[in-house]
Amino acid sequence: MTSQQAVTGTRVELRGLVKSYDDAPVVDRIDLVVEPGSLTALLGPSGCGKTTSLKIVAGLTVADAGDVLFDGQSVLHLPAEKRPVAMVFQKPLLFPHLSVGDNVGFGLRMRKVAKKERAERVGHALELVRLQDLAGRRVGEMSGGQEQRVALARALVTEPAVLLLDEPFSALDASLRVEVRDLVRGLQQKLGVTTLFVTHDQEEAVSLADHVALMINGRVVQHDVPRAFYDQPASLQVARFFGGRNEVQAHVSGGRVSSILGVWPTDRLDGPATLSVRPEALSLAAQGISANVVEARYLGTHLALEVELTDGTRLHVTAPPGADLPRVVQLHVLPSACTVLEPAP
Amino acid sequence: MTVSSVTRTLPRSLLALGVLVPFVPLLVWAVSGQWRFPAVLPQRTSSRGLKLLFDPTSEILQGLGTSLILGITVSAIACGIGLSAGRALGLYAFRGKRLVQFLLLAPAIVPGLAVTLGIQVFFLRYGLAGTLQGVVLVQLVPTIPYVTLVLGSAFANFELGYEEQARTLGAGPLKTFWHVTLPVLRPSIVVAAFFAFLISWSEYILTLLIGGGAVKTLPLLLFAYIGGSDLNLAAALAVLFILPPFLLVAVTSKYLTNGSGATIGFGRL
Repeated sequence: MTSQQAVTGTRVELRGLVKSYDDAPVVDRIDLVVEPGSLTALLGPSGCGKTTSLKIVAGLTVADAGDVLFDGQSVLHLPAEKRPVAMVFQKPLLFPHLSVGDNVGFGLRMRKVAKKERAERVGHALELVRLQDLAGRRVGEMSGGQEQRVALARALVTEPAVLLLDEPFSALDASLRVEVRDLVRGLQQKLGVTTLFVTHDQEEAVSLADHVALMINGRVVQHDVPRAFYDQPASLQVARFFGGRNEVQAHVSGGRVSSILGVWPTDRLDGPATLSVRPEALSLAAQGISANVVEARYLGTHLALEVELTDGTRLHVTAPPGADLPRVVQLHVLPSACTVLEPAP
Repeated sequence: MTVSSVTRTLPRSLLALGVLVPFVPLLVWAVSGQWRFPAVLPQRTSSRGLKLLFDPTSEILQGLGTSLILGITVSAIACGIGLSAGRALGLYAFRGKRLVQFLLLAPAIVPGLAVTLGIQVFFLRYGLAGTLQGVVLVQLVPTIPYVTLVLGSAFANFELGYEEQARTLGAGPLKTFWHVTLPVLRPSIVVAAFFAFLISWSEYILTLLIGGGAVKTLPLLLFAYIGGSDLNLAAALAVLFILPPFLLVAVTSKYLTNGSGATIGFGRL
């Protein structure tokens, strides 16, 4: 929380991490660099190993192989309590026998910070999460959102070099989630603490993080800035995880990709391929590729259409809500919003 | 008094009466000098019985001390063992878990007397018979099952996340146990300790067999005096015997009833 920390921050590196339970790899050779002071989201479906990875960084789980480095120094030999990290879990986990203030001060008490300084820093931390009036409150007398904010204050008060967040918003209802999320983003930027953040919600990851690492089946399949997951998904798997529903069979030869949607240049090598078509790539036009409307659903701001091309390929297209819809429509395709990927299995 | 308050207090009062009435004759006996049929109350009161309690020749004060030391020691050791056994049984799955559970419960099912006769041979051989340590050991046999049961179910509902959270906040394993696990489980530990104390407090046969008369606890003295002819003293001793558990219930009732503090109206008394 010092100004010095706000400038520097700690660089976190995961190197070839492996963790298996009963011979089944949960974390399978993960390499990941979290830049100093950045917020990186570890995104993935449940059971993909993201929480296990986080617990390895925290020291709560021992990796079978690999290394975790803070600023180039391995921290694997340090037990959890000696690592300069703080973690916020899915549940607030406020200690029921302590008041709100004592909960926030717990980490300082364990590190033998004098009572007076402790009270000051607890007050400051509660101010950060805008709960300064609740220090004397009992733990059971708060809302879920307040509890999670106290948990956040309890983690930040120790001035950790690395902040680990394990789905901290998933137990909150929608309106609270946005509120606490904005608070976390604001605090993270203000304090400049390197943050690794686990979530299964791609919207949350994209809206909150500087970088996103998508984990599937124990491996990081793409690590990039949020935009890239839409603009250049690394594989069909990634495109599908980010909601890509439109896939067209294609073929690459001589630097050109050809499909029912047209022919345009690509740098992919020759062979069969799949064209992943983002929603904004397709629009209705006066002239273009003709398609039969299979289904049209009115969604207030737009119409969600499912259309069938002449070769049987089905695509999802959006149209303005007022449009008078014929049975056969003409599609305009924006090649730059299509990505050439490996053929579907 | 309204109808609803009567319907609310009546059952409670009856319950309290049912628990307390059997003790009334004891109290009266303890302070009576002369009490002949058909008088409802004694003709004369006397403090002789109460005075004898504190008379060194009756050995009752030493008995009280022995019983208290025994109860507290047995309760503490049983809780120590019960915490680790309860943690293993409540939180982890391991091979032979059912067998361990059965073995732990066995002393509560098998009559203690039968087993103790066998144990006594070993206690004699190792010089534990007739010693306080020996009695502590043998009283652990019937207490550990109950303590482990209570603490096992407490651990089954324990949120391990509290410990992980404490670790990431800089608390080592010992500090985590002391500052987080113990306080979170405190209500269950109080109940378990109370059970263990009660079992030890009223244990007669095991104490007699292993203590061999050298370890004189209150129940042993009580039996001796009831068999004798001094009803005043026996009644006074019985009152003294009942008092500590009652006080314990009063003090711990808020844990026994999970905070509502209404164990047979004792929390309010």
